[in-house]
Amino acid sequence: MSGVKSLPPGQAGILGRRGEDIVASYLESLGCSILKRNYRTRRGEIDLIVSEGQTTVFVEVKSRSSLSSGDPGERVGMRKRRRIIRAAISYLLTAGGLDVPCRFDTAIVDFHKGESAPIITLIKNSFDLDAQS
Amino acid sequence: MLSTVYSGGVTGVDGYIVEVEVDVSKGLPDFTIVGLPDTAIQESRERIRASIRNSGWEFPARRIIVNLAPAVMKKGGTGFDLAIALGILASLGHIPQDALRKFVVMGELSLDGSVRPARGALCIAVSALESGRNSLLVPAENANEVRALEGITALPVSSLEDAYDVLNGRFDGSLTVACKRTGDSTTDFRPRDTLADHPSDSDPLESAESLDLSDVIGQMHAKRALEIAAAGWHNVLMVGPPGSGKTMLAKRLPTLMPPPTQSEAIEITKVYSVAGLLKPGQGLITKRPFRSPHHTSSYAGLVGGGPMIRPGEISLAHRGVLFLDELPEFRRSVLEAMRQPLEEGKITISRASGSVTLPAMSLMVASSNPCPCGWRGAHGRECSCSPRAVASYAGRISGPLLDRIDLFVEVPRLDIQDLYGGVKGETSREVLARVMSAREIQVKRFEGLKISFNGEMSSREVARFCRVTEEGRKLLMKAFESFSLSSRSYNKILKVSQTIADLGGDTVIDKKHIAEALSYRAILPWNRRS
Repeated sequence: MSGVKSLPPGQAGILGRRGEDIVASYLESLGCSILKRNYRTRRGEIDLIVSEGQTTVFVEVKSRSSLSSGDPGERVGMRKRRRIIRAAISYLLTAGGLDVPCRFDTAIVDFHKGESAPIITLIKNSFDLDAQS
Repeated sequence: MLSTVYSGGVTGVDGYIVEVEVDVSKGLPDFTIVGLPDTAIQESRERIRASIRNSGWEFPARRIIVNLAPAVMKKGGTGFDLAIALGILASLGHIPQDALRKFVVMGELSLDGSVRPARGALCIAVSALESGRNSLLVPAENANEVRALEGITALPVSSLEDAYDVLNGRFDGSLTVACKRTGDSTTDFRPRDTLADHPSDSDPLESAESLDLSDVIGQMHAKRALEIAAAGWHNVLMVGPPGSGKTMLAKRLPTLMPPPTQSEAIEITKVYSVAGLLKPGQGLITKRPFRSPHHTSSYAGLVGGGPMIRPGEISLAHRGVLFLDELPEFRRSVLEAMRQPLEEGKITISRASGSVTLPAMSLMVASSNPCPCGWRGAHGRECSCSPRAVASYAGRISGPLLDRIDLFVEVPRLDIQDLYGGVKGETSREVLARVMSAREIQVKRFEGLKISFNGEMSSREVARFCRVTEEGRKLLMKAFESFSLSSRSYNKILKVSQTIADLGGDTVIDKKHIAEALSYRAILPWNRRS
């Protein structure tokens, strides 16, 4: 989050969207089907909702360029987690109930100088509802 | 899927069985523990997550709810880690449920999946036996402690994977297990029957082996008082100037007491187990404890306390000796708190959350200087204290506390001639023989009663058991009049006389016994009251 913010205005959004595209096609190549992109409610938002077999997976995409340094971006902060969890609950409620297997993943996309292929790191089950407490 | 694991918690020194219910279901991933857990248990979630991952399994992206039943009791500590982790693995189908249900499981997990020792393992094992469960899965370090119990099968585990292997029947059941943490490459866990001839080599207490009563030169009167104290469980106060040997004498009192019986050893070890004072791999404590808390000790340190109520010094001295050096220097509130345990052999600590009773059957030996400067009544030294200072010094010990002391003995400073030419006297072994025979007499006397020592007799029991000869009675009457004794001191003298008679193997209390008992009456500033 912090790394992306250090980019010139406008660029951060572009980078973020590119990251989401890359992760979405990566997950599709793994056999997942995309259910929603940029799912938003008043109380939170989720970058990607995909289904992996029976499991609904909520993916937070973190993009970072080589310009950013320091924070590895793999930590999703408590506030952010809470927003994702709230959005996930409202999605599940509209999609037919909470009693389905699901998971929160974090995908990190590393853009190396914008030239070579970006590196995707997928952290499965990166957090759970503990964030609520 | 729901699975149940049995584990245990401790209140005071009493264990209780906790049913750890683990439900793993679909839904948003979550991990919550309910059933009044404290912070340590809340934090166990992180240890469990890491140790399951680091032992080679995947931590499930499921909704995990752990309930610690009975849910009304407050639970604390880290001993539930292993049980919860195994419950999760069982819910995921890695461990057969019926195998897991056979065991009572305890142990703390470390992030790498290894198992650390649990506090109060012995207490939990005792309660497991009482509830009819005799198979335990314990941290390797706790194995010896728990094995001392008759009828317990304890399988030591050093890691989560060990436990997994055992529960999947992949362990050959041999009881020799490499113990990771103690440093020895192989710590041999002997089966129970051979444990007896192999008493615990390490002791959290000062080794009493090298101490002997004959180390102390002279002080025959004080030595005899200690003998009586050990035989009849009478509390002692020694008064004497600095350097006269009060501490030396007190330290040798445990050598005059018979070694603890099996059930006493279990009682002692339970206290040390809860206090976390057992060394890894240690078995039962087979020596009587000797505790000598400093006079700056806090109330909680001496009596016990803290959020999960840990035993204090008075409980750590259970079935042994509690030595209070410089008795008047102790805080008044602390001394007053000693009254109940000295009377009843246990201490009850009441909190808003409930009350806990800890064992505190300790023989109290106190020492004091005769006055603030210490030299009152000593040969060749002037006492620089004003009479008022002496009185206020003595007054720091309250009457009710003094009432619980049966033997008062003066420990004078020895001259140089005494030190070189003085008598060494009997060895501890010789004295112990008399003490043991006196104890046998008492065991017979108090058969079927709640008490087992002369020192514990109430006035009713004194009237029932103490038979005095005509001559003895005459002397007692005379003393009663000339010293204007209270009825309480009358009873005290009879109790002490009874022990003296028991030590001599006499069936009735005679003049000589009374006369000796009278010599242990209050001395110096303290004799103004009783």
